Amino acid sequence: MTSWQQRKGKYKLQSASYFRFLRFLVFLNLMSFFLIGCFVLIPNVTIRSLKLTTTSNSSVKNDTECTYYNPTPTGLVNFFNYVLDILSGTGMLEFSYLFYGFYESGEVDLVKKISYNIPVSYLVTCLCYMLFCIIWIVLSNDVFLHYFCSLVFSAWDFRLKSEKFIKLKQKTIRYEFQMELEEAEAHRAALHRTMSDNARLYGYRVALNLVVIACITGAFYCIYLATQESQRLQSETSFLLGLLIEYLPSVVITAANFIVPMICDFVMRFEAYTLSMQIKVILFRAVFLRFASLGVLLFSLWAQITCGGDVTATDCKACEYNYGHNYTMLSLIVSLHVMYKLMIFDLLTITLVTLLVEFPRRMLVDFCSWKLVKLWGYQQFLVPQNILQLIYGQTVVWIGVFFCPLLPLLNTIKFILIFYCKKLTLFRNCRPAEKTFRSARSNFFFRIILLIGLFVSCVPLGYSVAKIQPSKGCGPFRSLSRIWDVIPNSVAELPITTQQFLYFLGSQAFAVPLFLLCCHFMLYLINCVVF
Amino acid sequence: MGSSASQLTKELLSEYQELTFLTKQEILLAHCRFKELLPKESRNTMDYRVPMEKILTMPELKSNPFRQRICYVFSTSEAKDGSLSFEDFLDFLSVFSDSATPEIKSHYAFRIFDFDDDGTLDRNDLVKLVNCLTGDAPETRLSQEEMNQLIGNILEESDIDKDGTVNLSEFQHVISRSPDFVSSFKIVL
Repeated sequence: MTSWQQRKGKYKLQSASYFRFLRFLVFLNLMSFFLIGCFVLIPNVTIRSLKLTTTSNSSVKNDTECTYYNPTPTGLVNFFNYVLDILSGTGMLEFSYLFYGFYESGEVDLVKKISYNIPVSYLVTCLCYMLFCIIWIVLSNDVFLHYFCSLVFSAWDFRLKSEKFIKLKQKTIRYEFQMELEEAEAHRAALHRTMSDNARLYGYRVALNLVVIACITGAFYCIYLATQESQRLQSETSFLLGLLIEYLPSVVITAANFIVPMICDFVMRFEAYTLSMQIKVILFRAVFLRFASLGVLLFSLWAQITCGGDVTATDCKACEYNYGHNYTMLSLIVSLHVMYKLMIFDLLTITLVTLLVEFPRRMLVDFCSWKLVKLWGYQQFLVPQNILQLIYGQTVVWIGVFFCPLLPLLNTIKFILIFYCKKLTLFRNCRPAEKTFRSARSNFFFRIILLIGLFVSCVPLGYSVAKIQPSKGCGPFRSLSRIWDVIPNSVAELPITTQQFLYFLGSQAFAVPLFLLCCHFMLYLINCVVF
Repeated sequence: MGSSASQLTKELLSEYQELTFLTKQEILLAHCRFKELLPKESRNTMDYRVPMEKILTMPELKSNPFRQRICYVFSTSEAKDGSLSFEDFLDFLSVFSDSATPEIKSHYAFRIFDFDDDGTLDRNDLVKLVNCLTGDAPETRLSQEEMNQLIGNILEESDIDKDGTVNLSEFQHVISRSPDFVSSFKIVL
């Protein structure tokens, strides 16, 4: 039996949860794309190709400064420009269905009295998409009320034939059982620690946590600086330098997400947590870092877009489509460019790391006979960190989806590529992690983090829908002062009884108990699994 | 049902296809493999019951910790010696095939784990089950303390009527929540 086949056997046991999670995300994105496709994309494509006229409620000056930019360049265009366009989401991609700005505003009269209101459908579809994601994640859960039972009763794989695999499987099962029991023992030991021991230990932990917080704050400051610089220097004409500057926030975020966990790992050695507590703390810090860095990025963008909330600042007055300088129409496009770039950069990082780090490392370990190299060994496939990367990618998509409706489709393709890439690297270049993460309970834990990501990405969405003034020259909401206004406007056109019903649904008498009920349900689910 | 021919007739083949979850190719392959287990002189009759020792020489079962239980569960011999006729063999392959329903699989899993054949999984059954899972040698077994804790947890979670044993419906309820079970409860020749 070759060592490759042996490793393959051990992998299937550990990394199955990663690939299951990845498949779940691919499905989620695909379903979301169908939803968006049906209600936003296809109607808009038909309207545009049939050249149906749209009637809008308020008049928008046609001779505004926000004229469309002609995306088809004149003269010779080389392939390199197309590649750059795809990488940075500008140029020909900008005036495609990919971005919000391309969608019409106003209503289209279909048959007699029925008309299709584009802005309403856009907003409502987006909200439904978020709701759909929440429901899908919550409902497709395997709630583990019977953790130990599932562990023991479905532990055995009857497909295993060779004695070597069977012994390996028995060893893994024994290790899993012992880990569970070690947990219980550690809890009991923690209860019996003396006062002075406890005090010393907690002292250490506080100090080390301060170190970690300092690192994370440093990372945030770098991200903030990078975003500011990137926006400021965007008018660079040199293509390659310009591209680099555009990708600066993504680079800094990825670097932070790489370096800070390494520091945390180092710090972890002195903190004396039990094995599973260690894993939870590592994950908590990593999750916090990823989501908060996205938050910092959004905050710095907002500061730029709204000139720090000051509407009268010179930069924010005009609405001119001259990308690089003015910020109202561009504002939204800029923010979605960043999400698009984060997504692409994530994909590039994963593929390049596989090609340039993992394959060479394996080559080195296989062919070089130095002891130090052999000790270093193959890359470990750490399931939790890899899953976190997937959740991060999905959160980026959720943040950007309102202004970039086709992002779920791109994300589906991206995840499929990652699937095959990781499968390849798993069997060729990696070895099993030394500390296995309990895959049964962890599945639910990762779904919870995914839900948290979803809620985190609803915050900027809610803010932009309710507060920010949409750009005047493009997009479905160009004639309104707030995106949300489209809903009250169309509700006012419905018959009276329906209006009253909807007002009731939105009133405090109904919404507050509903919200409390949902919170209660969520807490119940979490409670069942954690305890 | 006796057959004196060493080849499966078409009627028998279609009958087996209807009664089991196996496809035609799987039944023919099973027929081939079963014939190999028969001693030379009995190769022409399919009535013969293959003793357990011979069945356990098959590579698919040779190292499986549950091999004896599988033979006992699927055997229909009056002597309860674990010997399998060809139809018992097909039954076995049918339950472990790709197309068997999860209910059938969980039902037979329960019977296989029920080491004392009393219709419930009591403490002793669970101890034997865990020993099979971790390996029954002294260096691979869990310690007594670990075992007690584990069994205690299992009974706490799954014993709904609190009688100290796990019955079939409690077992099936647990298994239905487990996503891995159906794909791992398979044996293919």
